[in-house]
Amino acid sequence: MADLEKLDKIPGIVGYAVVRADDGAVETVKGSSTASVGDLTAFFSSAGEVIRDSLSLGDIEYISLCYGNSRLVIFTRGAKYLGVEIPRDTEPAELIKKIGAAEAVKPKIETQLPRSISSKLQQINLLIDEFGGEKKDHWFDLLNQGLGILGGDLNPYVGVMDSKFDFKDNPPADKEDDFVQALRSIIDFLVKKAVEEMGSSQARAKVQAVIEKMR
Amino acid sequence: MDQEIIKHFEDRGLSAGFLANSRGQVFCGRDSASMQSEIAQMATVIFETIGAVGDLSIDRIQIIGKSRGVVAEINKDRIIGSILDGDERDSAKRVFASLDEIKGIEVPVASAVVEPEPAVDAAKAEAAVEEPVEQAVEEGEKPEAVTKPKIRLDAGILETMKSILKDYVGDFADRIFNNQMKAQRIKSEALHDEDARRLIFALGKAAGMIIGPSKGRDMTNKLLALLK
Repeated sequence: MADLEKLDKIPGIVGYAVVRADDGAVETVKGSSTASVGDLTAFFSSAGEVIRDSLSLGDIEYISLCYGNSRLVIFTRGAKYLGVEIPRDTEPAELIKKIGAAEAVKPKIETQLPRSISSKLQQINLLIDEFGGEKKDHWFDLLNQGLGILGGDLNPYVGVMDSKFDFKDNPPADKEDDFVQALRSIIDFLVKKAVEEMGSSQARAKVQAVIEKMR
Repeated sequence: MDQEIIKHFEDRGLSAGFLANSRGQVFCGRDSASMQSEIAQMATVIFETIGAVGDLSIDRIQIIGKSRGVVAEINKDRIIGSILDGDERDSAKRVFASLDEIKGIEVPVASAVVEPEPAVDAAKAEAAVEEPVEQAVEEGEKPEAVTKPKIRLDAGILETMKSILKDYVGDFADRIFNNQMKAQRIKSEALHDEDARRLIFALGKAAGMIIGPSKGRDMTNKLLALLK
């Protein structure tokens, strides 16, 4: 089975699910996909097996589904199915090649972010530290939820890696303004969630602490 | 018409083309004729699986095996594509390009009759829609469901939708709206009721993550009322 942490670092991956091939149980769902990638992977891997046998396709290399602006590519890894959501215009073979390369060597992409983006990124990580404390996973889930509805074109470029929200690849120059705006919306979303969960005075104190750290 | 699509496929060198609809009809090309019942089974499995995953609009599927592949486009009630062998099994671009060319030629009976032009308000459009042409039902075939007319909407409805969204989610509205327009591949210049409905449910789901599911549902209902 692929080292899942490597998937987190591959640019272009919006989200993914791991499903057991023997019983279709969904083991893992990660990322900011708004579609139910776990269910899609489970249902279509099973349907693919029926179609494979009926039409004598041979062992499945991959199944690709397109919906809206997204594509889900399902393929086997050992005794499991991996369903990976990517932008629609990415070819499945290209993705599988990228994953194969990442499995062979550790991807090392040096990202150089404009200051406007890196400061927002820092702010988000500090907010998650403050809001989450020792329990950051819940806040990473909320972050992914926020990315799913507010991130748009930003999503294939970012992800949570080694307990840190970061860029997997350099953002295109012409997208800088859009990405800054997306990150600003994500910050507002996290703050709104903090107010809901801990009340406005505690949330305000934590936001103030982040502002102090960023000075 | 459906058999003509297969002929168009063959004209483009895709001799294992197929078209299967949800009523159980299957049309096959020269090289796929021997697999007619397997293709029918495949179509049933795909339609049922799509039904099981809910309201996601899946429009393309590729199932690529080591010796053969299936590449197809999915509409609500039919699957059109081709079976590809050997080294060609992953030539999805070729199949989709052929389908795009065919779409340029094809004028399906239902859409040719029911799509009113120019665009009008949803309510007026409903009244303006002509009755779909009744198609002959072949022996042994399931009775045909009445084709639901596709109604063209005025793009102005999108602004009204955005304004309602803003009432619920405030400053998040623009980003949510633009992201969902893109994610659902909605073109304001060719907006139909089914696109609007898809967009509304996507907006309701997104808004629900900010304002909670019950307010999200409330907003969805308000948006759906625009289509009545």
